[in-house]
Amino acid sequence: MNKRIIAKLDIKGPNLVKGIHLEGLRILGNPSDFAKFYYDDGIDELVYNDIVASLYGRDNLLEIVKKTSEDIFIPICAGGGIRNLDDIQAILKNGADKILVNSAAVRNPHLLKNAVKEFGTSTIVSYISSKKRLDGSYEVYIDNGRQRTYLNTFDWVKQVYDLGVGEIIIESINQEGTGKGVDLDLVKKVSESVPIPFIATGGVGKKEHIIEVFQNTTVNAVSLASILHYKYMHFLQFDKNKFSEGNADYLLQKSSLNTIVPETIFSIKEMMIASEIETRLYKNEK
Amino acid sequence: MKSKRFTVAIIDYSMGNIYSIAQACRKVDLEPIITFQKNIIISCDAVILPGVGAFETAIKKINELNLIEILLNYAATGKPIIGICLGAQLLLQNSEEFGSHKGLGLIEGDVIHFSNYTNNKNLVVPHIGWNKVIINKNTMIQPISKYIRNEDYYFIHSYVLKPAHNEDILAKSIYDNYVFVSAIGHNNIIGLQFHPENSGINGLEIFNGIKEIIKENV
Repeated sequence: MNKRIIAKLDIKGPNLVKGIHLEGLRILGNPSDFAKFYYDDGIDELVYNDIVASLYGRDNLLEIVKKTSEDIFIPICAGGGIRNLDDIQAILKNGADKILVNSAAVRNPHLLKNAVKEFGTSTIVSYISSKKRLDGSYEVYIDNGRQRTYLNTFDWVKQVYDLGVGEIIIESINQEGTGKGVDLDLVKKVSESVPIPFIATGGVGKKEHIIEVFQNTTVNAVSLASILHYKYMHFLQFDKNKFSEGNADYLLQKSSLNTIVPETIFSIKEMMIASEIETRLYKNEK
Repeated sequence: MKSKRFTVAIIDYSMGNIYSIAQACRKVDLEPIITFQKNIIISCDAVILPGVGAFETAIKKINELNLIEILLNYAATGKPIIGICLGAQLLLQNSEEFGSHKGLGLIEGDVIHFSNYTNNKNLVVPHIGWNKVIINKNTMIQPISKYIRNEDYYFIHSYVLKPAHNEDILAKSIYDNYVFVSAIGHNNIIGLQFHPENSGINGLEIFNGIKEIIKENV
């Protein structure tokens, strides 16, 4: 089975942003520009996560999805701040193929059930942000990692599976933005909990981390942010370049000791193939 | 003088990512018309039947909009009908999802859940991701086959197509070592289990193929 690598773009207002442990956000540029690059270079899917929808409203995300869907023909998963079925309908109408639901589902699991019923299992993705506590247990956090729920991650994973979602994105808050690698324990435990496809996100800093996850777990896909954004931002030519580079440098410093080694999609896929991990190899025919 | 663009009716029964499909049409210079109206559909050069969700719900909505008669009439004109994902499944006769439900019956065969098809309750379902499509050399006479390559296309489904006749199988794929049907075709009726609108350049080539097929029919 081909494994997927997915580009995750966190959106704040009209901008692509990046943080560490979901904090300290810095602007990196225009999301559509990055998305086009990733599509042309053979990324398997895109995820747009609006991290401040509740504060800024949803129009920015809708605009970004619409623009992306005009030129980009791979699956687009979008969400962030979804409150109800109307929000889901609006994003689908703008060209998204899948919708991710996080906080609202924890607050009201019926939303997931109704969304699956209305839009189909394969349209609804459950995004679960998980923090590892000192005692080794994993807890679900919502509101972009700010709010504790006291809900055990794996109980929630089983619950969303029962509610009928087609896919899960499992995020490690501890690893997110650090570039120190994926939480393999978390990933393994999720794969043992439910027989649906899921995507691991949070912590990939080097391409070796990607190989590690695919070789040691049965995860279907890995979602990437820092490792791609910090590479591709250098290919974009626009006036804010210096500004964005300053931001990227800041983030790279904070993530300490250069744990992040930015890579192109091609070099990641090349390494996957060399490590006998099946994946789609895309030849840019332009 | 600019020549008129060919029109494609994308059937709107409130299920399916019709907007992605419309964008793909535009990209290859086909004019997409999202509609459920009889007069508009019959006048279009091709019909795409999209679909994401449950077979039962889909048939119910299609019935409510009187689309069965409209689609059967359209099929009789000989103009192409392309079903995508659940839309492809609807072209067949029966689905075992939540009891038994009748489809359009434009191609003989059934729809069955992946775990029943494979007798494997532990199979990871839905089948999601890029997977190789292998063309059936025997059915290369079907016009659309020319535009499908032995390469990766994007799948996301829990049910599989089980056409009754081998000559209606256009392509197969493999998931977790199980072979399943990924494309079907009978005369002007085509069913694609994968999503051409999400399959990059290869997917757009299929939309291009629809345009070429329309051209040849005109």
